[in-house]
Amino acid sequence: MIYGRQRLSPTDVPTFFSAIAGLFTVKLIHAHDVTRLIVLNVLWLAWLGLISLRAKFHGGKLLSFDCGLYQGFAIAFYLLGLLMACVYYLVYYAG
Amino acid sequence: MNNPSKITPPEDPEEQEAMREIAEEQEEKYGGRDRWILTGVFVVAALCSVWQFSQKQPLALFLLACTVLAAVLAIINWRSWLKKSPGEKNAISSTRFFKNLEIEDCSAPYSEAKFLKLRKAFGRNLALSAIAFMYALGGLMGVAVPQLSVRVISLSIAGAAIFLGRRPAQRVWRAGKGSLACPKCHDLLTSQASHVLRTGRCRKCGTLIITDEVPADAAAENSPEGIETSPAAERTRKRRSSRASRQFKPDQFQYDPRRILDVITLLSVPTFSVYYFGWNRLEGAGRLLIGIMILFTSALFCFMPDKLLGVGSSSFSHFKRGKKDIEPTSESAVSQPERLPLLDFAMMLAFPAAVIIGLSYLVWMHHVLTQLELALLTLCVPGAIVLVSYFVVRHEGHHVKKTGKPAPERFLWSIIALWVLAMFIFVVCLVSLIQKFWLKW
Repeated sequence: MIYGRQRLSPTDVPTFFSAIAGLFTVKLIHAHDVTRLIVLNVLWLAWLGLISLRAKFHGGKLLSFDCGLYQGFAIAFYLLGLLMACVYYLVYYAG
Repeated sequence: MNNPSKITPPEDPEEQEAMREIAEEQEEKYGGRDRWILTGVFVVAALCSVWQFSQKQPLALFLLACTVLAAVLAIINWRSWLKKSPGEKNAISSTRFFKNLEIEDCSAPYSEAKFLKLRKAFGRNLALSAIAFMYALGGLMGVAVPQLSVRVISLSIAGAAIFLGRRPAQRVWRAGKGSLACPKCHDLLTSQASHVLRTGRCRKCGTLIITDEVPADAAAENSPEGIETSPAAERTRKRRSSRASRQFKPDQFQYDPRRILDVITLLSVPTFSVYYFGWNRLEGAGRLLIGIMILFTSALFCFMPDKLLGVGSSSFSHFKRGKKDIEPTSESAVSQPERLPLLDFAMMLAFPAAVIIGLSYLVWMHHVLTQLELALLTLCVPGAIVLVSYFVVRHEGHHVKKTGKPAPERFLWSIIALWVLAMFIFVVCLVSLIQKFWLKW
């Protein structure tokens, strides 16, 4: 967990949720499910905004960690999820 | 005047202790201690990957990565080892692996270093015994298999495991009764090691176990009055108190209403998303299980004390503090936080964003890449990222020359992150290319 080792791992909340959001975004693009695609990405962006908003009133920190740390890892893992899913659908998925 | 190229040793004893621990860790990992083990791992991994490759199994790629990793670690260890002088080589206790398994026959009280050494040897023997036991058990279970050849192999494995695990098990048994048992109550000291290291005494009967000045008559010294007066003893006491501050006690749970808000902020949207997108897929039990897991995670984040979790005392913060000591402190640096120029940031993000948008478009069109397209993607994306970062670095260099201010630290990290991304894309695409089109798996 984030708390034990001072760094984020793939199983922490920001990283895991963002990676899953990235994967599902590509899945929904492939399924042409625009409504759910918009809902998911709006939720994810709202979550990033919520973290910023909460950190603003708490000295830029959330649970004693910099808000930027959460956001940086969240964006990085979202892109990673997107990229992996894109490679899967473009190379292996023939459906 | 500060010299940026030379790092002055920290004055704070806690920092010194942390630096020493980091140096010890580095030495243990890369100092050449495990060179033979790593060489063995490399050989085994290489053989396994060749075997899997001949079978056309995808596991071959994973094993190949393991082989490369083991080779790199083995080379680093061998290089460090060959650089050492004969004196340094002899000073390393674990030159011979089997010698490290021996547990010295002695009794408490002993020095902290000796206790740690005994504890380490005990742990190694225990691990070997457990592994041997598992193999023996698995081998004996193989008797139930109808094929005779499998039975013979299983029994051979069980026999070999029993033969090899016999000595470590004996050592564990002997140490548990002698060297690592309390002389008075015969309690196993490794099971209460944190208490022994903190207080120097047995948890059950209070017998003195660890001292830096072993008295002639140890029994006479088992009084509550302290006997540690030398600087070494003082250092030990400080280390123990430092360890004590990191120990967890149930009354250390902290309650802060603001943290509950933090946890709600962090978990509300992911929880909502899980239930919104997965409601139809999850059964009642699944919904309940996820709810319980989220509650437990929330409780952990809410009530775990910062002190125990090491907030603000990590190696990273030591590094940052150490770095601050060597950096020149100017007024401008103190008053203005470092900001990454927007243009640089936009330039760096634009290309990966364009790539992902392009790939998403192809996914939307249900397009499957041909060999040529994938090969182009493999070469062009990392190449383009490196090219973009080169121009950004040039631009930043020009900026630094004009303004006279150094480039912000975030700039460096962003460039490194971009290169890591380029490398990642290259590896993923290359593996896909090899696997799908060249090996045709």
